[in-house]
Amino acid sequence: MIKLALWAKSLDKVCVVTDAMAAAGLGPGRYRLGKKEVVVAQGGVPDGYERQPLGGWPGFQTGVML
Amino acid sequence: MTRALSLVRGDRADPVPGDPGGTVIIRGGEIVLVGGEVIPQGEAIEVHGSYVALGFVDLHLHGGGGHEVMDVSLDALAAISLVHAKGSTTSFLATTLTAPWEEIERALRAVEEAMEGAPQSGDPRRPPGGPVPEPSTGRRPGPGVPPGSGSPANTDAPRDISLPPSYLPGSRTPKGFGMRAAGQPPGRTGLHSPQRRYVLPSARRGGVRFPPRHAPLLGVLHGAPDLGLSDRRSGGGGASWTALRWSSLPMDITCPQA
Repeated sequence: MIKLALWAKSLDKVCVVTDAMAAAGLGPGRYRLGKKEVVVAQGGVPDGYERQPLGGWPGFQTGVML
Repeated sequence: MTRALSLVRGDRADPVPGDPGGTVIIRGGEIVLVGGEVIPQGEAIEVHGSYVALGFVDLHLHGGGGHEVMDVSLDALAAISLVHAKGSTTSFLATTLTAPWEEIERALRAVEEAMEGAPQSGDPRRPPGGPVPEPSTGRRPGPGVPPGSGSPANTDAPRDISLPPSYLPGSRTPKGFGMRAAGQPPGRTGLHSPQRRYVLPSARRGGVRFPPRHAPLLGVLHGAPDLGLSDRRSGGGGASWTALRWSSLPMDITCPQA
């Protein structure tokens, strides 16, 4: 997906953001995301975000690219 | 004379095309010279094979270290800054979550206050909120604990900060309040159209900055690019903003005290 975005937009029109939540920088556990609870499992992927481009980074919900 | 530190033969990861490597010279806490033919000064550190990156600017960041922007706390913002600075992000756009207007406004006031006290380029002051708190675990002790108890929010009343009318509900301000809190002038809203594109003064000023001493080989990107922004309303109508493109890259860079 990242390669596709770079190909479609070119390097100078792409940026990456972390969309980091409270869990960023910490390990597996239960965290807040506003009024929601988010469980970060072993491996650092919050529940429901397994398929996001950068979902493997602990506490980072997703990578957003434009 | 302030002693210098030279990072020699590193692969620079920066936005300057066609100039990928070279030496970075730091003096008095600021990057003073960068180039491929630069003669090292002072203490030389061979970093060949490593990347020397600018401090990253994260334009969509809700929290970190067990804290959230919505905690309405200078300490929380400082802790968030710290944990991301350790990961090389030295500037970020504090991003709110879907919440009642009053809560968003409180969060934005805290962000604005943090920005007012944030260190400027070359200023190694501590971040706002006093000593940097250790990152909290952010974890709840177990199931059944109500949301919001993972880390204590600062319930102190925020300092009274006058918000311009465009911040107020019912104005033309879209729900990207996080940008407005950073000083976005009102009246230019929209999506994709160049004439309606936002320019973000907060990003130029570095957003919520943090002394980069915790970030290895990094600096604060400040005076940064104009950003084209599009509003991507997240589910539930929350404020969610991301950068559309980088347009220009005037930079003023500082680095940890050498």
